[in-house]
Amino acid sequence: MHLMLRNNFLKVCLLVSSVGLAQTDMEALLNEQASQGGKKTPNYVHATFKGTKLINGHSVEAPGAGVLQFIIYHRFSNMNDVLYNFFGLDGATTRLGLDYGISKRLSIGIGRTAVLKAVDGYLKYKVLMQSSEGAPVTMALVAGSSYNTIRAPYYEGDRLRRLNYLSQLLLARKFNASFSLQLMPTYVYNNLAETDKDKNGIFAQGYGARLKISKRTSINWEHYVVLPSQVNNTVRNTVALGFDIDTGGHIFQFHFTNASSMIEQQFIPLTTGNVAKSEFRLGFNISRVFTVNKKAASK
Amino acid sequence: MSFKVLTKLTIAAFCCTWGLASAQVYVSKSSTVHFFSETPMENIEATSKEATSVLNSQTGELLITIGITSFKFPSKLMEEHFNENYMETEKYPKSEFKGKIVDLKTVDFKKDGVYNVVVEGDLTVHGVKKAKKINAKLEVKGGQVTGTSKFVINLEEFKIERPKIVWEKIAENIDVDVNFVYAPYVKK
Repeated sequence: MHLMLRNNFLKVCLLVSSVGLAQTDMEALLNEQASQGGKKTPNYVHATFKGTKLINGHSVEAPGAGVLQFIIYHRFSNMNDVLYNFFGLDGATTRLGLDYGISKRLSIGIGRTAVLKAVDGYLKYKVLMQSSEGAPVTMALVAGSSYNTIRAPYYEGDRLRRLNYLSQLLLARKFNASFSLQLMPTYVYNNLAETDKDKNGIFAQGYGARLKISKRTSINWEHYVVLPSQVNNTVRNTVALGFDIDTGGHIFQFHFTNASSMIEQQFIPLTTGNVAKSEFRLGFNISRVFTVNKKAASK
Repeated sequence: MSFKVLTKLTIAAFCCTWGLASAQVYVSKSSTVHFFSETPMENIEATSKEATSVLNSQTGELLITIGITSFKFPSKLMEEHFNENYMETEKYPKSEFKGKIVDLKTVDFKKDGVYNVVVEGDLTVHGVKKAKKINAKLEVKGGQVTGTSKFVINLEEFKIERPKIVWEKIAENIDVDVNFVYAPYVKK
């Protein structure tokens, strides 16, 4: 009996040796090798939002390294002017903007807005990038300034009055393939306040979200709440509801918003559109990207 | 314990070690997986250096796994579309191949040379598993094995949706070429 058992043991040994590593061992080995593999790129989430702008304000997105992006921003005038201005389509404000990705994390943007004939520029830096095994959120810092070139008596003799500043923290999380949320605490400083009742430095809390409704389209929402007792009582919080279509090289963003400007230094302290009185307008952003630095892009 | 039993145990132990040694397992030390597709607008191509493979020279078993986000494109937007719209990476983060070298007998892993082989197995891309027969080349040189292959992936076959809108035309078939450099597996 004893010997029988030992004989069986011997047979098992021989069997194992002839088969070599069983299939499951090979799979275990593959997984072990795949998880070792030294330097691996973290699984960064893609496309928390479609555009570098959520609607009026910034999203955590930036053009990739070596990529130049051109955006045309357009806002018609108030829709409640139905007959005379045909739903506001007769009036318009625009911004033309260029963004460039210096690296994966750092981008720079310049633009010119019709409102107050402002030229503006900013830097956006991604401090954290959400990945499946690392950071749970993407965090970006935005620092910008703008200069109003409009001819107006209140600017005469003091150029510094024309300067305005933006600092912003963007915190976004892509919860799943279709839903992303963003918080954007913002501080804008205008060297010349709008009225005696307005402060130069204004804090606002921004909220934004996107819901993908198909592979290439999404619904976006953006809301900037100005914290109390900083502005005169005609100023309204900026709200916007939009629809994005991603066609490959272009991103078309259509939206309704109560803001006429497209930079934070202006729309946070200057938006007066009262949504309850249908004082909102139709608008769109159209972006096109060009890979200008192939070396940087392929890194 | 009798002398006989001891001898048997020794033989058993010997068999086991000899078995493992002869069933030589190779693991990939470096890899390149590249694909290319010609479209009217711009050519689409990407490369990953992060695929992992194991190869059993006794059974011919060949396994490959690759993380989809490891594919690098010439533009970030292309990479984004690849992951978001085509591969649905969040749902299907990996592609895999599980198969066997069919004509293993023609390969002598102990002798330097170039061997053309046929690999048969299941290729899983975009969550769709398909049986594939792929021609490959194995080059044995100084104990290292380099495996290369070129094959075509049909997007429809793997349920990768091609857009119907005209401005984003992409090809129906994608050319894939792979290169794996294997070295014998040494247990740490």
